[in-house]
Amino acid sequence: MIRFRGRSLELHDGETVLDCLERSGERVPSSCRSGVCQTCLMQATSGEIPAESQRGLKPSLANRGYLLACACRPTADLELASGGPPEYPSKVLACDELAPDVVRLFLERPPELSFEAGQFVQLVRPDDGLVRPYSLASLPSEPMLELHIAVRPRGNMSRWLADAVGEVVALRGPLGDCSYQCSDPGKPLLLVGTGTGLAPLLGVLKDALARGHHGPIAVHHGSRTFEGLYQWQLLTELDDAHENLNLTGWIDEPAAIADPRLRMGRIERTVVTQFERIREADIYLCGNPALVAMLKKHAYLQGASLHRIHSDPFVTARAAGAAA
Amino acid sequence: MTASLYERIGGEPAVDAAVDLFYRKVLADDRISQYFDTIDMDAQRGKQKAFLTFAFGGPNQYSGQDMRAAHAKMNLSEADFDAVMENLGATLKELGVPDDLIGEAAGIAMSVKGDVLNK
Repeated sequence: MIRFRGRSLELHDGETVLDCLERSGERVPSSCRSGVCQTCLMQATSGEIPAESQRGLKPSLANRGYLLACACRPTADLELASGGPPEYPSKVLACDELAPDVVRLFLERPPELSFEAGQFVQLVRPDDGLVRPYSLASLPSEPMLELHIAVRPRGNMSRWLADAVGEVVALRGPLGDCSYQCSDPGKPLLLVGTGTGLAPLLGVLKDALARGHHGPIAVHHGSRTFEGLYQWQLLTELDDAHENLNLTGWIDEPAAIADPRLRMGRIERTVVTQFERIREADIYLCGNPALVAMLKKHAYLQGASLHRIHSDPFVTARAAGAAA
Repeated sequence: MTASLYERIGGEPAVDAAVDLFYRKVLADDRISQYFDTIDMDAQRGKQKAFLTFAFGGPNQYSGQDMRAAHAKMNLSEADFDAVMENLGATLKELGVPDDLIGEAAGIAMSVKGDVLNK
């Protein structure tokens, strides 16, 4: 038997979860129906998950109970999440300006929210339910949640958030798999981001260093102006303190300071194609969607496994539409 | 009874060995790579795997209708289809699959040509 959206549904002999749900009138997005395309990804909240329904899933998904409905023939009762991730109230505690159009928000950490740095949450505005995704730049061990907000001139949410200290918002999540995979502390890490795409990278970087990662770590942050490299000070301090860290800032306009770690121009494909040991690396790409897509393609063509390329969750979230 | 092509070619491990090789060849092929510029690579890799499973005569529910719908708005040419077939052949050759089995797989893949080209 499976439980879904408050209903208890009886499975026919050998029937898949997808077939059963559809027979019962539930609508589940699906495509290949052969356990391959992952369109029918669902999350089990309790019960035993048949191993074959998790084949080919990223470990980060499998560990959180995700399964492929079309390949899932349960042998015992299974409860499936009805789509939405859990929601927690959280108070905005502080806000400071990191750059002319970037603010950092500190929020109360809901005790039940268990997350990994670099994952993202959907932030819900209380008055009208407006939702936007933001990455978590803070570690679970830090007392507050840290988000970086790009304040857009006409940004409905971002302009409100820049002045939201004291407000209570709702956080849904955590979501995404843009987090440090600590399987091998000696493997290379490649972190590339533009603008506030730095937030998840910073989360991953701090987590990796805190857990004693000793393999080479390359960090590339790009922005139009030097001011847009809004955590340059922190990044250079980390760079100075860690032998295995290699930092590059990419800017379009000349900076007021001289730093050999700064380069003029946009982030190029060479950050991927000239990265040593790219085949073994965990790769994190966040920010400008066109750049992320381009780098992802080149990383894959260089032999990197797609399982090891963690790209901007917002691109994925947008592609998946309201299905999530 | 002779084993199915899928069994003779090596089953799912063979598909797994072939899928990244094949998808990389397709992506790197200047004749057709532009069709893949804006797609979700993870989902696309899944589709390539489904296609290979189908071409290997494996357990799959790939239907002509699916192929037709997926390619309907792409306005593909014979040359595009031939380029994919070429990459399929090159992938299997590189993996050391015997020529007669490559021929069988190509034959199965050819059977969806009309659907892919929307003819």
